[in-house]
Amino acid sequence: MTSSQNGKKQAPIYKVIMVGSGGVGKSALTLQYMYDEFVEDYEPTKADSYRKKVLLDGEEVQIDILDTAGQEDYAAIRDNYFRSGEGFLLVFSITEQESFDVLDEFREQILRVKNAEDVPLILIGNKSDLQNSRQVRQEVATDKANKWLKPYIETSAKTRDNVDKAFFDLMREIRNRKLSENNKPTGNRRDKKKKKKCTIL
Amino acid sequence: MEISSFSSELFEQSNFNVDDFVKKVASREIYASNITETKDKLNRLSIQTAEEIKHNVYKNYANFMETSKEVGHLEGKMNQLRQSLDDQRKLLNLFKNLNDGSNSELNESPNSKALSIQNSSLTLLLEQVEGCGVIAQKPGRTLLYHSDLEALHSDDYSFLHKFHAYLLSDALLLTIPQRKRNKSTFNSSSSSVISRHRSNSIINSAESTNTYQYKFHAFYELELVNIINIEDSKEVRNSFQLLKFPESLVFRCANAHLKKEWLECIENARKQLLSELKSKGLGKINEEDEENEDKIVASDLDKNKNLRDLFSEFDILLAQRDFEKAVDMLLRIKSSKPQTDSSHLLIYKQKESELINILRKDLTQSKERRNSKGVVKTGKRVVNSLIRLKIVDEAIDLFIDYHKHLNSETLRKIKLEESNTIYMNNLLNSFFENLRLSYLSFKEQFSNLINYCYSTYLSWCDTEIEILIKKLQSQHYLGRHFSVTIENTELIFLKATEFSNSGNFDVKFMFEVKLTPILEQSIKDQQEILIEASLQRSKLELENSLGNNEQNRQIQIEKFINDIQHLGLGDNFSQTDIDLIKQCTSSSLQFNRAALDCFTDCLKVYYQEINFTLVEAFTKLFKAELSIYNLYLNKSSSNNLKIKKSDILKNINLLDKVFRLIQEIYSSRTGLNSKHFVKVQDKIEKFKKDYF
Repeated sequence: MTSSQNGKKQAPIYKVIMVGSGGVGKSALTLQYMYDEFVEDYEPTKADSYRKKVLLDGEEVQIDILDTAGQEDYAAIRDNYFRSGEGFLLVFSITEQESFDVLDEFREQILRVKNAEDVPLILIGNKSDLQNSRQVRQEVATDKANKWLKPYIETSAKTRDNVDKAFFDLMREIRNRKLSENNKPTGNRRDKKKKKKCTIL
Repeated sequence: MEISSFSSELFEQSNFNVDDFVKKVASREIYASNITETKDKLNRLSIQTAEEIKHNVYKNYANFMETSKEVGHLEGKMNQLRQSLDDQRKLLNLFKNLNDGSNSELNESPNSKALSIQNSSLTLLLEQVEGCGVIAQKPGRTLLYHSDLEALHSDDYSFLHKFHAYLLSDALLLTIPQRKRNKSTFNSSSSSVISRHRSNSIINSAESTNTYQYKFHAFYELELVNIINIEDSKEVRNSFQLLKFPESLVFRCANAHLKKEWLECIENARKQLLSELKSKGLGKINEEDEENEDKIVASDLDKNKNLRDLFSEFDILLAQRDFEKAVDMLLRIKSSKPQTDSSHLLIYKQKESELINILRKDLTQSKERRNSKGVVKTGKRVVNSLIRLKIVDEAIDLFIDYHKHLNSETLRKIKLEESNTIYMNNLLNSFFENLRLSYLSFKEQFSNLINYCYSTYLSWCDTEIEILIKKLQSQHYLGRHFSVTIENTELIFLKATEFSNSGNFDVKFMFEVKLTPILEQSIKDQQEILIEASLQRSKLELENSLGNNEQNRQIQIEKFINDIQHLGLGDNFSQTDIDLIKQCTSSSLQFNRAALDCFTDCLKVYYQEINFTLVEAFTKLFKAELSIYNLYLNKSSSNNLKIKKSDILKNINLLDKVFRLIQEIYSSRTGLNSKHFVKVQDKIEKFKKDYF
């Protein structure tokens, strides 16, 4: 309640959403990024929101992370989350093939509710410290990311490997997207959502 | 009987007769004194009686007064007794509820109260919140929790205002505190609850006095919102977020405990709601006759029955293939709002998809019968039905589907003709006629949805055009032979412009995009052919001692001059130019004529996209020609050639002239000046300077 009274300009907020099935380490990544700590105990998340100020390439920004429930019962209610997000970390565990397979579905849902062909998004393979029980090969994940035209990053919430990179890269993507959207005339957006082949217009 | 001896008792006898009494008295010997005495006596008696009556009446009245006072008093007592019994009963209920709801222990916070689930009445809501009568009416809805909350700005967490929030079993209700609040009722200690009950029951008209504490502000169904826990940070503590895109509300609780309670209550409510929805939805579809729950009131029962009737009527209509009426029926069902009940919504969706499937099948069958009129009829009906049901995406898909079918059928039927022009004319005429008809019915059928579907329609047109061009290309009407390609392209553009000008949309640019690669390839091929031909001719010219050379040359001169006239370039050639032509060699004449021809052909179909290819091709062409003259000069210096240097100069002068002409018509047609052309021009100048 202070900042608005000061009349200080609010640092821009980047709304990031953690997406992925239960137990892949979304919360662990978030907590590691927010507080530099690794939580061993697993407790299913309902929906937690975190915010902190960070320096992104010299500019002060706020990152708002929404850590969603992997076990969300209401599929329909996920739409609401996705609509409010600007960038998405699609997280799977490299030790669990199924968590990797379901991401296509998540991505489709995101694109559908965002009504866009492309959103800022990074594919994250977490638990890279557990190489011995790896089930998803790096090439396979890279292939998927390439198919999506998105980056792939392997992280470890335990060792903090690549954790900062994942969040910062995503924030950069969001920033670029925001810049290009501001430059775009507003008319284009409506056409885009109707059908795929709008180039002829 | 002595007259003076009678007493008042005599008059009080029941059988006292005035006439008899007078006769009796008169039958005796009468004296005046006796009569006077009797009269006095009677008078006295009369006065005495009147007084007695007066007294009695008063006494009666006093008694009556006393009794009524007594009755009133008793009544008051009775009332008091009844009221205190009432209060006692309520108190007992309250305590009982508090004891029963052991899991929902009393809250420490002064402004919040945990309510047991058994206390399902929404009376509190009705008492406290103005304008929530409708909310309290829904059967089965209960109040789970309520407390004050502070709303914060979702971006910077600045304080916005205060709410009092009520968690109902299926929704969250936000209310704003009223300005004129009654202080005694705001305190929620138990003694004040009692006092409020008492005062309410005695006055018995809460509505007449403005005792509402809160005013209705907003209502969120739990199914449709996300509740997000906001982790404590420097900026904000004890808060959670309600998300219903694009709305986002941040609430701050008075303390951490309160927040925990809120989140737990909401979570439980949602779980409960979800399981109810699941069991309801499944149960009803499997067993429609299942006993309805007590909660559902009679009117709902009727509504269910009505809906069921409507659904079965719909089935009958579908079986009778009366699609119009079936759509009507479906719309009727829709208007009776099955959305309020998930099971009905499911059945509705199921019926809807049944209808769509049948309509689709119908269309496919009529397509297979290869009867284009039938297809149009069925297609229109199907699309209209879908539009009425507001299933627009499906409608436009089917619309495109059947028009695509019509298009391919028509084009298939057009006979191949010997003559290129006749065939092209027939084909293009039918194609554009089909396009026109499809556009007409598109405008008619999607009149209200044109904005929504237009891009889909256009993209379909684009595909159709692509198919047409592919077809023409495969039959060598395009891309095979240069002049045929140019001729047909010109015809296509002409028809496309006609089509656009007669009130339809612009299609020429679609054709242009599709034709660009074909034209580019064609121009390049032609350029190569010309270079090759020129090379061959010059070789022959150099080797050959030229038997009938002069005769051949004369023919070429004639042809060249004819062509110039034919192309309408006569004005551009002065007499000296004509003289120059007459002095040039045969190969030079042939080259220049072919180049000029080719260039004017290209300009006939010129558009921006092929500009680069055009310029490039002619730049190469003239450069190649120039290098041939270079060869001539080299040979002429070494060998004793029949062709003299002066002849070569004349050839180059003609080349110069023609190239300048090409630049002229190029810039007059396109309004452009090409750098590449200027460079070639410079080369020609330099060449002349270097050698002559």
